[in-house]
This record gives sequence, structure tokens and C-alpha cells, in this order.
Amino acid sequence: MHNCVRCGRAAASLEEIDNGCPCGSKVFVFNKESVEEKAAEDPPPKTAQGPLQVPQAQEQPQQIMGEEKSKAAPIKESAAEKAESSGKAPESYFARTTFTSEDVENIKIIKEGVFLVDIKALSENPVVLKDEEGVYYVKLPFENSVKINGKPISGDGGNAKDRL
Amino acid sequence: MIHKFINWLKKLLLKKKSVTLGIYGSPNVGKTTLANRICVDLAGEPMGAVSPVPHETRVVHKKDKVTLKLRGYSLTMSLLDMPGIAVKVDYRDFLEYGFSKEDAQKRAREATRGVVDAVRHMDKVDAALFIIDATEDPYTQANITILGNMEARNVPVIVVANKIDLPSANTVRVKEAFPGYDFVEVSAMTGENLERLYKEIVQKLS
Repeated sequence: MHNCVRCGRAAASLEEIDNGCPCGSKVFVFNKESVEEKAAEDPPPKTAQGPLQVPQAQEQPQQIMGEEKSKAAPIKESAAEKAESSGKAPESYFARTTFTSEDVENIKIIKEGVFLVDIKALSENPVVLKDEEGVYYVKLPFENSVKINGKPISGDGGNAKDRL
Repeated sequence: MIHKFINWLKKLLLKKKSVTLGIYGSPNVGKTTLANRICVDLAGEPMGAVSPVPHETRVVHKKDKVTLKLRGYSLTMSLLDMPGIAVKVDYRDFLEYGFSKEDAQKRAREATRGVVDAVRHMDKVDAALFIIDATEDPYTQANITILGNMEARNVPVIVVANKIDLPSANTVRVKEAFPGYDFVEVSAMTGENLERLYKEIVQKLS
């Protein structure tokens, strides 16, 4: 079964998949589970060739549509993010994209490659990065200018452990 | 002669009534144990709770009017017991002590806030005791960076190698790691060599 990624409506026919959903979207996701459920509910007719033909017929589109589903997945994800930013975002989303007085970190990782920085807190405090709930990294000030036995420990040198 | 007189006059006029002494170091090096020992010795009562769990001290504890009298000198101090400074705080480290995941995460958040507070207080102390666990490798990023911060802020430091009562203590390694600093080896647990530490504090701050 193919579902429209925008409205979730199941495509009624192949023509509809070709021409697009009535909502305007032309992207469909193949829903493997619903096909399996339907197959379980409606056993194939018992004919001489039936039992062999039906699995073949199902397997092929599943393979093709499985690829289609993996390609369509990012689109679905971005649609979810769009929904979050449209004002219906769950609390966890706002927790990631805003700073509150409860937060000890001044840099948040919103997602890979996307960070939220509290400039004001950074001007007064050491850099605190929250990796996940309960895991924090602290970059102490003057870290790069510290010398031991007259030699700087910045970069890859030195014996310093626990480097960020 | 005149220069000496001016310096003497400056010292007399600008002399603080009380000095602020911060106790710094990584988690679980014995900062609070030492603070308690000093407070009991000099003020008659302990300062804070001690625990084997890292980051037990998560806020800055202050004890005022701790007076050290030694060989005719009298030094009144405000003692600050700082949270342990670490470059990474991970809630998983608390799970082995029986904390639930939620409590461990809360503790990690508080501990991180404590680290931030300890760093911010570096500007407020007149001198610092920098505590190092003599049974551990002193060459940690946290240790080196804390000392670097003290130097950058011109805070006088006494390096204190603690836990000398333990057989695995290696004070030579600590002393060699941080040459050029006033150095004392003590056991905050047993009180061994505390007199020497008090002498160093008086020399440093009087």
C-alpha cells in the first residue's frame, strides 16, 4: 500500500501514484506492514499456481518500494521538523532550541552539525557543551595557554588526559 | 629607605582584615576532607559532607572567621570549599553508586554547575590550595588547566599532595609534575603534616 507523505492517504490506484495525490503531493511511501497485514487477513485463493504467484508478485514491489521508502524517509523527517517549527512542536523540541535558567550548558547540540549558542552565558562562564541528558563537556578558560615545565600543552602534545 | 617605608605603609593601610582561601582540585581528591580538617582544627566545627561518590560537593561552601595562629602570626580567613573541577561530567559515573538514571542526570547537571561556579570564584580568592590525589597520575588536563588559570589570575597557590596515608601515594611524582610551586604533602584523613600546611599558608598570606 502506498501512502501520501503529506496527507497520509492511501493511493487508490497506480494512476493516482503517477498523477499525484489529490492533496497535491507526488511523493508516496510504500507501507510494507499494511501489505503484510492485509496479506495475513486475506489469504490467497487456492489455485494450482496461486500460492507461487502471489509471493512473487508481493516480493517484487516490496523490494522496489523498500528502496523508495528509504529515499522518502528524509522527506518524512523534514516534514516532521516542519510541523515542530509550525507551533505544534513538542516540549522536547523547545528544550533543545531554547535556553532556560535550569540549563547549565551554554552550547546545545540540536542535531548533528547544528548548535545553539548562548552568547551571554559564554561571555561570563567557561564553555559548557551538553552532549546528551546528563553528559556535559567543560572547556576551562586559559586551556590553550597553559604550560607545564615551560612547555605548552595545547594541540596534540603533552601528557594531558581527558582532552576535549 | 623611603621606598621601604612606603611599602610598609601600604601594607599597613591596605592590609585586609580577612583573606579568602579557595580549596581547588579535581573531584574526589579530598578537598572537603581537608576543609573539614582545617575547620575543625581552627574553628571547632566541620564544613561539609564527605562521600566516596564523585562531585559530592556541587556548590561552593564558605566558612568565615577561620583564624590561624602560628608562632605569633594571626591570620583570619574565609575558607571556600570548591566543587571538583572536571572537563567531563557523565551521569553514567553515578549509576554504579546506586543512583537512578534520572537522579544521576540531575546530579550531573548540578555537578557541571558546580564546575562553572568554581571557575567563576577564581577571581574572588586571594590564594588557593590546589589539592592533588597523590595516589593518582597528576598529569590530567583538569589539574594542569586549573593551575594555569590560577597563574593567569595571579592567585598564589600551594600545591597539596593529599592521601599520603595510602600506600600507593607518590608525592615525588606530584612534586615533579608541578615544579616551582610551594608544595606540601598531607593526609587530610589522618591530619598528618597539617602543621606544615598551616606554616605554608601563614608564610604565603601573612
